[in-house]
Amino acid sequence: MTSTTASTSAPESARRPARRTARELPPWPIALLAGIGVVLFALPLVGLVARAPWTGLWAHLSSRFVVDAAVLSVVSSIAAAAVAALVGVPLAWVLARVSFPGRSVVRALVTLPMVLPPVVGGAALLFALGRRGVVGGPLHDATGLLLPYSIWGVILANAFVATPLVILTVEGALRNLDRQYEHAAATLGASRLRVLWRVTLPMIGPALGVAVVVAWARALGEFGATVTFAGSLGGRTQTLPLAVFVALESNRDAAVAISLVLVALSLGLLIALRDRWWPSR
Amino acid sequence: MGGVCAATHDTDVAHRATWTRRCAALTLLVMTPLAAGCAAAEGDVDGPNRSGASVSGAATLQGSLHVLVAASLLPVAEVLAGDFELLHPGVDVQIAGAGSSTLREQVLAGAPADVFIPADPSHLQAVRHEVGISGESVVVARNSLVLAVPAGNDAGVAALADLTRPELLIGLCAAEVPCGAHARAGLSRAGIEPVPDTDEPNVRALVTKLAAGELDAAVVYASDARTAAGIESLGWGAGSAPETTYEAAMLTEAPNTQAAEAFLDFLGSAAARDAFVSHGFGAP
Repeated sequence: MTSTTASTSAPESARRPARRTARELPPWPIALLAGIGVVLFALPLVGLVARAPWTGLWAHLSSRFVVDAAVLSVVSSIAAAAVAALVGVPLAWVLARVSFPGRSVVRALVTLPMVLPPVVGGAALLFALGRRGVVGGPLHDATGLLLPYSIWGVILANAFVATPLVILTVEGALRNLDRQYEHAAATLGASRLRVLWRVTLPMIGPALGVAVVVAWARALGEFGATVTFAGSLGGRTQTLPLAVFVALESNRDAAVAISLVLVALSLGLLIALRDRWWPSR
Repeated sequence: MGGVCAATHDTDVAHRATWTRRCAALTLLVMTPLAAGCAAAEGDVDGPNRSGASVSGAATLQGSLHVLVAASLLPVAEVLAGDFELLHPGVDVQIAGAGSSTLREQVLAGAPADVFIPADPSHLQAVRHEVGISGESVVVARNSLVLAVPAGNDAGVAALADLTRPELLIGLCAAEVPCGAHARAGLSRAGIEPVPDTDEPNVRALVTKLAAGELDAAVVYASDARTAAGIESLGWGAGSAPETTYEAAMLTEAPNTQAAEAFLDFLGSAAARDAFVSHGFGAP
């Protein structure tokens, strides 16, 4: 997902030949493997749609616990995407532009949550920032602030898993950026911050937009880190994915209904992104 | 595996009508190895000597035995599996543990399993009706719920009534899983309305948070309070504690019926009873 953004800064002329080759018929091994890939991703959706309680869909979606979870999910995922942008863009800038010893270690560290099991990430957050945590303990003693079991914990857990997506996407965009415009602006007397604000950020705008939206979608779907770090309480920390998990046990129709909404939302978003940021027609 | 196969065939049928011929051919190509994989998987767990030998003949039992157990049974189930394998060296016992309702859904979806032991017999009902169990289910152990605190009890929790103190961090299991349902029923009988800070999706998750000191008190199984490090039990202390019964049943479609029957017999043995009791469970 993140690697595709490299093409966002490609000039118009470079895109056309690629479009022409896309009409070719693929060699059969490519077609076969690509077909397997499509089946692999489409099958779960078919299963979900086949199980969907179409007649009672609205009743399920308007029930109290679903609405509570939806509101919490929307608020916390947007906040997490904002945090991801706020922390991720500067980090990406440093990783792309500044050469320092241990840079690859730092890059591995900040993108670790992408490959780490989310439950492990949540447990690590708990041991660091929980009431008895390395940092959370002194923080709680001094200020009374407690991150787990609160919306702040949900936002932090979401941001933890979503930020790496921003970092990788934006770093890729920054590396592919033609720097002559920045140099020109600097030559004309613009300060470094002004260059960043008026030249660099607008130029990586499309990639940044993709990064933030993808981070938001990731945060919206977050389960493992959230339940491990923030717990699960209806109306306070129970987001939509947590509600799905609990409802699967007792009220499968409601769980499937919520799942359909999450899938439709994410799928619509990704399709919209494709048309908006990677013109293909 | 069974679930995967079923879903695969469904889509195959659903899509063939609309797909072009080329795609249909492609689908068939894709499906063939999957179907073959399913057949092989079913074959290899089916004991080779189904039509012979007495159930008790240790040397005759072979193949793998898939046992689905409630999350609260996991620690003792590993011990029981090891003991059973010593008695029947030809059998490889595979234990899978999760919330009882999660396991129930897996069974209903066709997960290949021989024995199912949920934390509440109600989960056997759906399985009995939709998938079928072979013979009668047998009670193998009991468990009760206790009020538990992290080692040290820094918050000074003394009784169930402390579960209503808003300044404490209180955890329960979600109402959807047996430990949460029984805890709520028991608390309501005792006239206590808890104010939880989290409703954990299963008892293992709850015990983890409690043991880490991230909760001041929680209602967990006596067996968890007994075996988990860093947890102290305060008992129930308000009349009779809520109890749950573990009933084991062999599924009708058990791939390895001989080993499953032997395992059910073993669960009723004195050795198994000792293992249950030493892990904090009650005898049946």
